[in-house]
Amino acid sequence: MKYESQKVAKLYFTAAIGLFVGQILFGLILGAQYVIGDFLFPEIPFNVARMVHTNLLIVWLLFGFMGAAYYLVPEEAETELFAPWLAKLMFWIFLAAGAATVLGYLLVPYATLAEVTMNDLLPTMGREFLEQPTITKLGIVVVALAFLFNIGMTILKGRKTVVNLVLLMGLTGLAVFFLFSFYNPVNVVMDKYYWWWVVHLWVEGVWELILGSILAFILIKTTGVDREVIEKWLYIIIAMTLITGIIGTGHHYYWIGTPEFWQWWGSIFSAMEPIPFFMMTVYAFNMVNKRRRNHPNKAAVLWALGTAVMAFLGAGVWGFLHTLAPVNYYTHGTQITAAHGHMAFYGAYVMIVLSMISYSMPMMRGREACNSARAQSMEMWSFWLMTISIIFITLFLTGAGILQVYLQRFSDNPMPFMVVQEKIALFYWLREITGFVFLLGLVLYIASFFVGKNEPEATVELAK
Amino acid sequence: MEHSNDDPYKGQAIAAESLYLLNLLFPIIPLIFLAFVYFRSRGIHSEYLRSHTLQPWIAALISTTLFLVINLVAWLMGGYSSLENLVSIHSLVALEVYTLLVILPFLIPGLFAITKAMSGQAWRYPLIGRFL
Repeated sequence: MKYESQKVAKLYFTAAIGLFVGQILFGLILGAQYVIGDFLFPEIPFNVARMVHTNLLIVWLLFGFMGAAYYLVPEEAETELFAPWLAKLMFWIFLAAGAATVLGYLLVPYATLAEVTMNDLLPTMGREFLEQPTITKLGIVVVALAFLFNIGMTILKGRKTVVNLVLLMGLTGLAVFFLFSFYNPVNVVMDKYYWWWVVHLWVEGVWELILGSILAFILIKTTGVDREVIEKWLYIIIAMTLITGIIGTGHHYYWIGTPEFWQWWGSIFSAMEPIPFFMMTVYAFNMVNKRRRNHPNKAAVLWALGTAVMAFLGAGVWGFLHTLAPVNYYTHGTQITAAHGHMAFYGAYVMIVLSMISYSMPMMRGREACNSARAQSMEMWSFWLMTISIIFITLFLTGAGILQVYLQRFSDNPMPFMVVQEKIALFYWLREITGFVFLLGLVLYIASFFVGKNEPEATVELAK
Repeated sequence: MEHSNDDPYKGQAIAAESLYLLNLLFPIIPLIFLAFVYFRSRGIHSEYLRSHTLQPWIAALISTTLFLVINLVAWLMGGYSSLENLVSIHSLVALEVYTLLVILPFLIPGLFAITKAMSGQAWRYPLIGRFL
C-alpha cells in the first residue's frame, strides 16, 4: 500500500462483508420459505425477506465498489485521496441510512414506511429492487455525489490512467442512471421502460466498466504484465460491453407493452452480450499465462480468474440461455431467470469485490503483500465452497425452471403457478441445502482474516 | 512457465482454436475452415501446433455431430416441418439442449486452450488429450 489514505477502503470492505452475511442469511430464510410456506411468518413475510435479500446485495456491492475505488484510485493516480475525511463521513451516513432502511423494512409494514417517510411528496417506492424510501434514495444521491467528487478530484490532481478513467466512467454512470429511480410515471409501460434504465444499465452496462477496471488493476498488480497490454484489452472489452449492453436493454422490453421491434433488437444485441465476458475470460487467463512473476497472494489471483470464468458463465451463458425472444416467451419470469441472476451476480460482482478485498486487505492490515499461507489456504477453500455452491444453486434452479416452464406454460393442460411450485419443491430443497454450504464458505472466508496472523507471509517467487 | 512468443505457428494455433469456439456458436461453416487449418498443419512436427489443431478438430467434430443429432431428433419429432414452423417448441428445446449439454462442456476447454495458444503454450484437452 503506497498511500495512507487508501486505508479508508478498509471501513467500506468491512461493512460490505457484514452486509454480505446479512444477505446470505436472508437468502436462506427465503429458500426455507419456498418449501415451508409459513416459516418465520408473520415476523418476516416472504416479500419482506426478498426485499431485504436483494437490497442488501445492492448496498453491500456499492460499499464494495466504493471501497475498491478508494483503494485503487490513489494508487493509480499516484497521490493521496483528495478528502479522506469526506470518505469516512459518507461511509457512516451510507451505513446509517442503509441500516435504518433495512430496519424499516423489517419492523414497519411497507405502507406505513412509505407514509412516515413521506413518499407521497415524491412517490418512488414500491418497485422491485428500488423499494427504498425516497429519503434513502436522496441520501444515496448525496453519498454518490460526494464520492464522485472525492474520486474525481483525486484523479484530477494525480496521474490519469485508463484504469482509473474507466472506473470513474463506470461510477459516474452508476450515479447518473440511479437518477431514473426518481422517475415514476403513472403509465406502467413507461414505468417499467425507465425502471430498466436503472436495473439493466447498471448490471449489464456501467457496472461492467467497474468490473473491468478493478480486474485490470488486480491483473496489473499480480501478474506484472505491461500496463499497455492490459489497457488495450480493457478498451476493447468496455467498447463491446457498451455496444451490446445498451441496446441489449431491449431483452426486457419484449412483453411489457413496447413496440414489437424490440423483440429483434433485444434478441440480436443481447445475444452478443456474452462477447465482452468471453473476452474478459480470455484476457484474464492470457495475462496470468504471460505473467512476469508469481505473486505471493495466490488467493487474490484465484478470485480474479474465478471472476472472469464465473461472470462469463453466469452473465454470458446463462443469460444467453433465455435471452432470445422466442425462448423468453416461455421462460420469462421463471426460475430460469433466478438461476441466471444468482450466478451472474455472484460471478461478476460478488467475486470482483472479494478479489479486491483479497488483494488489498492484507496490505491495509499491515502486511507487505499477502496473508500467511494458512490464511490463504483457508480463503481458497472458501472460494471453492462458495463457487461450487453457486454452480449447484444455479443448476438446481435451472432444473426447477425447465420443469416450471413445461408444467405451467407448455403442457397440454397447464397447471396453476402454486401447484407447479409444489411439483418443483425437490429442487428448492436441494437449493436450500446448497445455500448452507455457501454460508459455510462465507464463514471460512471471514475466518481466514483471523487465522495465521502471527505467521510470516509468503515471499515473492520470481518466475523469469 | 514455458513461453514461445515468437512461435511461427502461433497464428495457425489461434485460428484453429478460434474456429473451434466459433463452430460451437455457428456450427458447420467454421468447421470447414478448421478442417483446412488442420489438414494443412498435419505434416508439421510441433507439439504446440498439434495440440492446438488436432484437439479442436476432434472436439469440433464431436460437437457438430451432437448438434446434428439433437436437431435430427427435433425434426423427427415434428419440428422444422415448414418455414412457419422454424421457430417452434422443437427448435427451442433443441437450442436449449444444445446450449446446456454441448456448448457449456465444450466451451470451457476451448477457453483454456485459446488462452494457452495465445501465450504460445501447448495444452491438453480433457479426454481428447489422449489422442495427442
